[in-house]
Amino acid sequence: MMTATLQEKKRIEFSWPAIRTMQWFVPHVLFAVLLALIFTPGADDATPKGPFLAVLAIGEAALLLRRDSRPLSDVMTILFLLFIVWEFGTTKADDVNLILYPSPAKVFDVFATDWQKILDGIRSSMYLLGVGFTAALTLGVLLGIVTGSVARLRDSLLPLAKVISPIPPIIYTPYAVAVLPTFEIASIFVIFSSIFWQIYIQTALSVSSIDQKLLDSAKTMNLSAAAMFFHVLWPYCLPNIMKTLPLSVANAFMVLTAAEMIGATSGLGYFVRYYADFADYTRVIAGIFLIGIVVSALNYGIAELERKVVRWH
Amino acid sequence: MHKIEISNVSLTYNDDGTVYNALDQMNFSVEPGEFVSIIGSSGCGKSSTLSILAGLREPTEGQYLIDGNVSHGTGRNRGVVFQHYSLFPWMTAEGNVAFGIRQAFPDTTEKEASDIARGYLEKVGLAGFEDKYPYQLSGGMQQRTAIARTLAMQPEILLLDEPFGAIDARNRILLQDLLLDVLGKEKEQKTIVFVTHDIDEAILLSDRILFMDQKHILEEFQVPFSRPRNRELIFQSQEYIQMRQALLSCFFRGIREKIGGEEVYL
Repeated sequence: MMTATLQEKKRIEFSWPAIRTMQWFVPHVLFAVLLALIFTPGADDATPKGPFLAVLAIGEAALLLRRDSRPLSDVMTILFLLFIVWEFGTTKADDVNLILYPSPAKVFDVFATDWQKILDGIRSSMYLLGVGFTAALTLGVLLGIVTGSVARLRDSLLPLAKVISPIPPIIYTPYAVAVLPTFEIASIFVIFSSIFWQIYIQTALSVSSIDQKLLDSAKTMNLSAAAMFFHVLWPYCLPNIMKTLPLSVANAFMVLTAAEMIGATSGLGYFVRYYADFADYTRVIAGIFLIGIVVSALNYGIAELERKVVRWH
Repeated sequence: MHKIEISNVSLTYNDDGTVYNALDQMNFSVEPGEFVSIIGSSGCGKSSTLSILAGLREPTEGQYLIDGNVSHGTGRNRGVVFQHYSLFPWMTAEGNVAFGIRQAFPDTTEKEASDIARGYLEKVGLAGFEDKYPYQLSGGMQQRTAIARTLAMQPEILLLDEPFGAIDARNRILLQDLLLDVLGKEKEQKTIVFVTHDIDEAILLSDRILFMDQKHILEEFQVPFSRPRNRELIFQSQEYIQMRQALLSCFFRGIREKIGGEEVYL
């Protein structure tokens, strides 16, 4: 009885490895199909194919290097499929409007030709984001800790904050751009207000819910106010603050690009809006990709930072 | 060494309009260098007493005196070990102890503090665990770290609030022996108040036991054993059995009065 079940199990498992090995070939086959498609003459043969091929090569190289990673294999399968649809739909299908639907080669070529402008845009956006973010984080944590530890402030300021904070900053972005003297100040202000409330409320709530035993222990150690702030309250709030950061960055970026689309003369949002005005949708799509890449890189950075800074869980 | 006096102390909490009486006309004193245990059932006011001694609460009525002077708030002369969760989770074992040292002695350099901290961790049997965070330590180890931190701050008055209450029987015995051992080795004796609900622990550790009930001290027992103490010998002695009986009858009397009958046998 026992042996029969084992044998049966073995047979079932035997059929799986075959499918599993086959799975590994799927993204490579798709890669080959893509290459074949790209080098088949079509509607868009004039655009240099180098950048697009480079992107595909990076994907394929990652697949070959990390052969044991199933998620990577699955992700690349999906990406290659999307690229095939995109490449086929724009260059091989009949009567495609290449202005509205640029080919992948065209979009990736933007990164090669406009890299100078792109770097300037990133620098300008990161500057605004950096200033707004640092200000919001510093003030949010400082005021949050003070508010959270004083019952009277907590009972009066937190309800107010909860009324103000849900107003999406995008709503008052046009007004801020109109009222504040320079675009720079206006966008720093809206970035600031898109992050500040979240950090402020989170910190105040963390502090006010601090374990009484921990607080008693700190009190009986006769900590100075500075030690209490930097060695007890701040590290206590840090994990919670780190958890809200990815969302904060996403919010800030959304507001920043929105602001840039209204009044900026450089930056990622400006890049997209500027070329949209000229109906240069190739660059618009490239800009959208770029923003996706930048936000992902920022979030990756935050996750790494959290891993480094919060080591006590 | 300090003398502690609690004189006619009452403590009332005002919890959203409901006034709750935690301590009522309590009196006792602890002589310099004496180890006194306060024992009683849950909710009798033991922990409230300790929080007054620590300076976390002020008496509503009466006075708390240290060496004859009225004491307000917490102070460098007192160190407290709580029942649980008093280590800072974001500091390693060594970090916790060293942080305590640097708070108590601000002139200490980081290097000195960490060396002293390592010494104290070794004393409580935690050599090799210096770089572990509290979450990586067992409950007993965390409590040993907390004891090391409090001792390293060299308070002259040591206050312990059921420090072994949340620890399993075996570790509890190890920690009691550790406390006897470490305190025996300390150059100068400390004035110690130890809150517990464990009769054996109180007899084993203290010079005097105060039985607490109905929000004040009801009875007082002198512990007849000399130091250094041997657990096995003490637990076999006639004096121990009598003392245990006497303390148990204190608990029983309390229960009998609450139930409201003289014929209740337990």
